[in-house]
Amino acid sequence: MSDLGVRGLTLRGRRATALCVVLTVVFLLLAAGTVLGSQAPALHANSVPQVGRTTMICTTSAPPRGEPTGKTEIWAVAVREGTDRPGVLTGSSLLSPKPAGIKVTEQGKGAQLRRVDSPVVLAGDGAMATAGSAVIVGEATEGPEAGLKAAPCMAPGTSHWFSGLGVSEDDRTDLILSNPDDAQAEVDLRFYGRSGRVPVPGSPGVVIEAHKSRTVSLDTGLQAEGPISVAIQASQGRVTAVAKRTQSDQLKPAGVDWQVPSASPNRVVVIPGVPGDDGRRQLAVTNPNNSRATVAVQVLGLQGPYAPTGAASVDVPAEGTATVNLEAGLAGEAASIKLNSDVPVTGAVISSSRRSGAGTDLAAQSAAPPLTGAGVSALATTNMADSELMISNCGEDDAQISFEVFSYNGVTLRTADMVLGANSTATRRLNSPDPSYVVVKVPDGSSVVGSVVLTQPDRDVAGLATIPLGSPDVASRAPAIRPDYSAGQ
Amino acid sequence: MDSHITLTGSYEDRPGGSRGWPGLMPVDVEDLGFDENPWAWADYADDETQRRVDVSGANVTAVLVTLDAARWLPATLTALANLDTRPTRLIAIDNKSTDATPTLLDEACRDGLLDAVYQGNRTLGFGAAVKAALHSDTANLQEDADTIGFRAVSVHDTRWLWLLHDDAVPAPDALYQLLAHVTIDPSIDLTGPKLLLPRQRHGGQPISEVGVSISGTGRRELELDADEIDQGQRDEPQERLGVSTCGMLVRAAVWEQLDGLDPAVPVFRDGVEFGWRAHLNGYSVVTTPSAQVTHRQVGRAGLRPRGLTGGRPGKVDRLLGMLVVAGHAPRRLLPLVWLRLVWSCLLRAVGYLIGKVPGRALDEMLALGSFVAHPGRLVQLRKRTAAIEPMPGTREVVESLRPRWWSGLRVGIDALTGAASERYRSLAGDSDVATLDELTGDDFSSATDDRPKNIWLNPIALAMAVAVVASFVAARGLIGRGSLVGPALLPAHDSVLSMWRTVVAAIPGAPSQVTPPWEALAALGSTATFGQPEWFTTLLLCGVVPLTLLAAYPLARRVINDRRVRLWACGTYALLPVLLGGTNQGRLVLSVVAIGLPLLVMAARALVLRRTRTPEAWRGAWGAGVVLIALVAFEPSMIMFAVLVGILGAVALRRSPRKIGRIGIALGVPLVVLLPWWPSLISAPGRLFVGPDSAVDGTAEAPQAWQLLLGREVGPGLPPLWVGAVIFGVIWLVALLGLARRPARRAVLTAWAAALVGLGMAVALSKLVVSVPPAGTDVRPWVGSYLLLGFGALIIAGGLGLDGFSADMKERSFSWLQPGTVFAGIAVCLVSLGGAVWWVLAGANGPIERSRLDAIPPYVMNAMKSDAQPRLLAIDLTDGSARYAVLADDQARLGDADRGFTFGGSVPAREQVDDLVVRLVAGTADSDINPQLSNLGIGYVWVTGADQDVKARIDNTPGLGTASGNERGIVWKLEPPVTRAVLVNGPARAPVGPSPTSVPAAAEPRQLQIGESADVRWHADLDGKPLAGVAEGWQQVFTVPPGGGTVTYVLPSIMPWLLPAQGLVLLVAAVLAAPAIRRPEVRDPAKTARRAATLSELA
Repeated sequence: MSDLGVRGLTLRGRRATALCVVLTVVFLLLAAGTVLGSQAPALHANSVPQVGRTTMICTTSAPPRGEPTGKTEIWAVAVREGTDRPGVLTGSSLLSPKPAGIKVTEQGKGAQLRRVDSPVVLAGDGAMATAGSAVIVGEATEGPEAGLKAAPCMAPGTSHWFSGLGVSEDDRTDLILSNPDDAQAEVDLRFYGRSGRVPVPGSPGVVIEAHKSRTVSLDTGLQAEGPISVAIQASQGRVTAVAKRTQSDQLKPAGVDWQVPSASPNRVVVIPGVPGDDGRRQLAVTNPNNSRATVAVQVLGLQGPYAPTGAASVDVPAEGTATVNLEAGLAGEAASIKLNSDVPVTGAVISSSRRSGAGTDLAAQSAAPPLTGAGVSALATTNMADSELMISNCGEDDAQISFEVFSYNGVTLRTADMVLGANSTATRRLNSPDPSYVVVKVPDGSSVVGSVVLTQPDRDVAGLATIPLGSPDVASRAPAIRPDYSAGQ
Repeated sequence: MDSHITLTGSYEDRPGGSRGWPGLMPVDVEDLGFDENPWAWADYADDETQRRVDVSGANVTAVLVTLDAARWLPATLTALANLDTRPTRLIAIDNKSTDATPTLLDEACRDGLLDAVYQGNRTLGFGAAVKAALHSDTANLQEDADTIGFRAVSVHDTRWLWLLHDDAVPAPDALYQLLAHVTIDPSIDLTGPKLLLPRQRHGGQPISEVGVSISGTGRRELELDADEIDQGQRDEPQERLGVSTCGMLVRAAVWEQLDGLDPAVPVFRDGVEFGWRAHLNGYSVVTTPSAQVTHRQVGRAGLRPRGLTGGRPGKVDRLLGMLVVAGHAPRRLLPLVWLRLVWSCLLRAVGYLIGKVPGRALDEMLALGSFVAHPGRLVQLRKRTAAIEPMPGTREVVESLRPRWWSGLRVGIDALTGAASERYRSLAGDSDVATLDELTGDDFSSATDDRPKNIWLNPIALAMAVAVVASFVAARGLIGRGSLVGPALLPAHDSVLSMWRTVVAAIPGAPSQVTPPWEALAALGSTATFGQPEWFTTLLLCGVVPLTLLAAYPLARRVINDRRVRLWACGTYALLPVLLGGTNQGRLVLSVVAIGLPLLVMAARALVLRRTRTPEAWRGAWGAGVVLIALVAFEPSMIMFAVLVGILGAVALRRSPRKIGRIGIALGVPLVVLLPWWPSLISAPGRLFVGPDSAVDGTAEAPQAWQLLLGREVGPGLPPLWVGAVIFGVIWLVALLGLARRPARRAVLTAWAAALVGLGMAVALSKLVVSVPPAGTDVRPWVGSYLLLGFGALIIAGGLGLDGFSADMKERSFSWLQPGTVFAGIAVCLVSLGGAVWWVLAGANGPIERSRLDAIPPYVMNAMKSDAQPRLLAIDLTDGSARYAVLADDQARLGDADRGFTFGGSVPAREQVDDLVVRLVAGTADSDINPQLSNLGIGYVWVTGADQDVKARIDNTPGLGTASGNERGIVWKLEPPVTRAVLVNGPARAPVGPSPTSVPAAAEPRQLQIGESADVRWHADLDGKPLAGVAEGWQQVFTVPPGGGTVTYVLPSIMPWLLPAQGLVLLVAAVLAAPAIRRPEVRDPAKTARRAATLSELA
């Protein structure tokens, strides 16, 4: 190809001109590329998951025949989510589809159901599917079940873990399995004793009819010493499981509580809401693995983490359960317990109240998963007991959290922010007018757990119960999702 | 045959057979008295050569058939007059010539050369004319009992018939040689001479024919090389299937018994047909090469338009060839033979079309048409051949004398390899054209320096070999079974049929969209790679460097003279696709652009520079159009670039309308071929800026402009920063040096302009986020193609600018410049070499990989392919996020992203899957998950990378069956089992199979949910009665009346109609772009024959 005819320019001039032109264009390209912002993908406004109907079961059971029934209530709330989706939270009896007299139609509000004597199913539709939260609380002043018992209402599932259940005359456990679905469920029970697996005839293939509850008493036919752990695995359908713990001391009632399932075994688990008094604190650790577990116990105290005296480490046999007393290590301090293990374990703490001149009561604290988004307890303050909010940050970074107490009419009663240090616990006494509920907001990615501790300081029985906070909006705990057609290759 | 008798005669001009040379040299030199007279052997004479066979006992009737032969007949008559052995009787028959032929014959008769001249008919074929002449001659001679007439007495009598053409010039001893041969070997019943073409002015005499056979496709099999000069190499008598009727000597009794030549084969193939029958009857057909006849072949030259050969001798020859083959085929094989003949005709026609010889393609098609339309001739011929009762063993003899079934393939391969070899020699710089210096024997010829001594040791050949080996080494991790998968590459289809089915299928839920054309081209490529889509993908990705080198070198050879600069430019350009992450990311588009761009530039260059007015002059335009089809199909925005360049070119060439027309063709071809796609692009313009399956790309962060200008941040799999920065930095530097050296050269400036436009496009496009059909997926365009264009143009600019720099240095007086230049050149080459080393050492190290696609358990895959056709929701939680895909049928395959995967254009379905995945992995366990999954046709959920918590959460979902799985993942099957199509009757959902499917009767109307995206084009009917569509949700629903029957539903597509039309236009464009057949004897054999005849006249 020929040369471009440019008159009046020498080769040097042409060279300079050409180089100047291209360098200028390159510079402009760089400048434009740097100055011009890049387009961002459009955000999809409708990104809130359209969760369908969710159910939870508030499990209760009648006391032994002829014994005082006490009173049992269900407290249900629908936290405010900020969406305009309509929804309703309704209760019905597990055994029959008739309404149970509890209904929440507005976000932020709550409702109570008194005199509950059978399991109740709470169904959340629309916005309430991810906003509903409920607690069942019971109180008896006399009889073998004298004491305070409380537990959050639970969603059905296929796998449940219980640590440190009692299997003796003085420490009875009734496993209450409820099936809210239309098809029967079948579960297998596995028992982990002090020295390993405990074979129990008839434990596999326990059938729970549709819309029925079934109670399995662990103190009958179980040849094991000491606390025992139970794994419930549904081979068909799904169930909720709650363990009713009843303790006695030389035939005198020594407390009662509903023990909720512990979080699934993991290398790090946290047991929130161990109350602060001088009562007994027994940590039970379950190791479902084939190898021995060495578990480091860490107390997430008010001043930070520390190893409890005499219980800094627990060795748990393969497929076994180990217990250790923490009261010496805790020294009456309210705290959460963090277990670090070389193999996945789970655990629970069985606490007893102690007050001179009053009967003791029992409270079970189970390992719980960290909160996602917000943690809710449908019961913050009640005329039955004093309340204290206990929040623990089991992460390695400080966490900026806030909590709000709402009345059941949706009115904000109290708001507070706090910075929670790594591996530490904070408590706040709740004294707002009852009934109220509490919502704790935690940052994304944090590892915060919490509970509401109920105590009865002026009763004949030193009532004690803990209600772990739960995250009703479980959808928010989903990781980031994106379509990727390499999945499945 | 008696070996002591040679048949050399008095014809002294015989090439290679002069009687002055002995047959054998003496062996014992002592016996020659070597010491006394070293040249004594020259006096050695073989008495044997003087021996002549007594042929006087043979009675020969020669028949000369003439038609309009006044131009050639005198030579024939003269040759007949000069025969040293005359036939017993020489008669002629004229088929009513309109020229001076009758006069010439009458004169010859009067002169006593001819014994009689008879009148024939113009419609008579050669065989019929001979028969008529013999019949007339016999009648004339009936009265004279002593006259030797033509009557068969016995098979072994001594009467012979010698057939002569009016354009044949027998050598003086031709008849003697024939007779001597049959006398020596009495078993011969039919023989023919060596036919030669007229002698060329400065060359030897080409052999025309020494016996003939016929292939299974009717091809004339001469067993000669093209233009083979007679040097005596074919002088051994051989048994052949037939001999030409020109000069054929046949025993009279045999002629009588076989009833002469077959009337169904009036010309051309009559000799081989006759020989075939002779063989079957147990007669011997042998050539007599010592007898020579010069045959002008005026019939084949088309110089006898009034004859049976007409104006299209090629067509007649082809037709008669097919007739002969089909006529002799065994009855049971006739259908196959017929089909093979038809197929071969079509194939040859296509071949001639591709070679741009439409005349010969027309001959083939006309012959085929005549062959098919007139079966009567075949029937008559077969009747006659059926009457033959073959002698034992003769069929085997015939088969042994015919070419094997693969001979046609061999011929085709020979032609292709010959053409490829020719192209290679041209590419490698070897040329048959000698320079003036070489012709004049100049010792200092400038041409010798640059001409390779061995074309296989040419630098580009070596570079290619190295590139191929390096590609294998670099792709070492990708060799094996399975499918290539990468961030931008979905696995290839299992079969090319599946791929073609996808190409023609409509996209449900996207009425305005069709399957993008790149997939059709990929299917075409996969068809070419033996129907293996995986091979095509692997070739494009793993072989991109040698393929790019191969594409770039011809361009570089044309524009860069310095071989070293040329090699650097080609090598560096060929490395660009891997340096920009094309292979590691699985970017088919980058391979196509890298290979296509040099071809496009070369075609555009030809478009501008070719000045001749022959059809070849338009090849550049068609070639540019064809290349643009591929480029635009894979990178649609290239059309904008092409239109811009086209407009600028048209302005620059405004004074040359023809060239503007060529530009119009170049731009028009992709516009026309891709016509069905343009509405899709107009309705979704975002697709214009992205390449194949871009929906899998996502919206990554936009790279910084400076990073792009160093070839960075265009995805994973790039070389280390310092490697990339150094290589691309050197490219910038070389381009700037090239510009500084030649700042006014148009080519350099054009390359720089292209580079800046390409890089500018890359920067601009990288800032965009576009919506990609059919589901409106947001995608950030991948700009690697424009970076390649930009850097490729910079390389060319640098190469053009620095071309000849070393020569300039040689001319300067020695200073620091020379060593500095050498070191700089070495450094630049080392940098490129470093890039190659990185490529080879690091290899295709991912993220591309070869996957067995076996993560999903086989029983689930089988279920997905069953009549129920459930889909699978696959969720991968391995990296902390939830990556998911909905798989159907045979998983996601190449091109599925552009078709919206299994949900086509349905955005609601896609959004619902998003929602469901969130709820599943979050463990909301709500009761709507199962019905919604079922509604989407999802029957299985497969999860990998989940911890116990997540497993438990998903497990809690009501309606998911018991989990099962292996180390790769866990599968939940929905309960009850899901089918894609269901018949909904109130709360009852009855599964139905794929279309067509039977539905039972019911009391009331029901709804058929087919599990595919709603689309107005869906059509369904119940036993032929159309069903009404219902708007409900994401999927297509039809109302089914109470009655039962067979329901058929289909999504009609126009692509099955459009694709062939597109293919036809593409084929035409490709044919017009392809190089034409250059060999004149193939392009126009009649013309070649005509030239030969004319030359002989001049001589």
